[in-house]
Amino acid sequence: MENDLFCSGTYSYKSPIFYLLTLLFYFVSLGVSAQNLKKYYTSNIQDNGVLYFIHPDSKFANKKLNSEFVYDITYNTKQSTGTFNFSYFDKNQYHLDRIAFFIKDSKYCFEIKKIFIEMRKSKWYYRYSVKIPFEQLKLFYHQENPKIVLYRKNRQAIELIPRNSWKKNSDIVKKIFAIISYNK
Amino acid sequence: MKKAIKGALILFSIALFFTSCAAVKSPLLGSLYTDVKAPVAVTSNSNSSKVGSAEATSILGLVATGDASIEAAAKSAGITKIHHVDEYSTSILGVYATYTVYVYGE
Repeated sequence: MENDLFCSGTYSYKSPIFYLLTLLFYFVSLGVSAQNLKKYYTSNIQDNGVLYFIHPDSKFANKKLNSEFVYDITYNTKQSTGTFNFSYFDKNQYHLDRIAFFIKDSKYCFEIKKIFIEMRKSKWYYRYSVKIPFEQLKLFYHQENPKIVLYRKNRQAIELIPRNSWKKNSDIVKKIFAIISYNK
Repeated sequence: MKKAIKGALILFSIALFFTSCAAVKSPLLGSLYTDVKAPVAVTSNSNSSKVGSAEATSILGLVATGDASIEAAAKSAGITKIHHVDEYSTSILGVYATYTVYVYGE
């Protein structure tokens, strides 16, 4: 019975194709494995604490505007705030001044600091930085339906929601936050 | 004559297949899978509070795009004093490769 199962058809266990497919599956699974957390962050020991950098992520977007939002997080374990740097790509011109994170029923609004504004191909490339309390960052990743809103002169400008697979992404970041908390 | 042409075509196809693989800059390179982080440079500046990154990607070795320069990575985080620079290379079966530069500084 076992022989029939493995030897029938094209994919015999003696066939080189079987081994090639097994190898291919192994390396593809290595590439997409969520357990290899080291792919998602770097840590660096400093004189004053450990500096963590969570790699850029582009999970948020505004589909109507066809805009992109890419962000990364830097956090030093001796500080209470993390740095949330983000890039926003849009065909329209804005003068952004605030960012809001919607956590459960609360809205946490922060002033943003411009790093630069450039043109990249046909879109405007906005790069900003904002300091956010580490505890609020942690709360943000515990949400099922997170939302980020960018404001221009106190008027709502752009609403950003996760594209998809938010749960997988938030699970990874929650694990990184747990590592950071254990190493404080 | 036909055999010689056929053989030449096969050799050409094999050569084309290997040259189209997505090669990535790395101190160690795996033809099946690469996932390597390595140093690029260190300066005498002390400590770093900011980290910036810049990435370039290659598909099948046919199309390669991106700006993985130290300048782009430093600029992305507003870094003016660089402490050190690391690189991170990944490649899966030579089909898809990424090269990322991480700049630490203030």
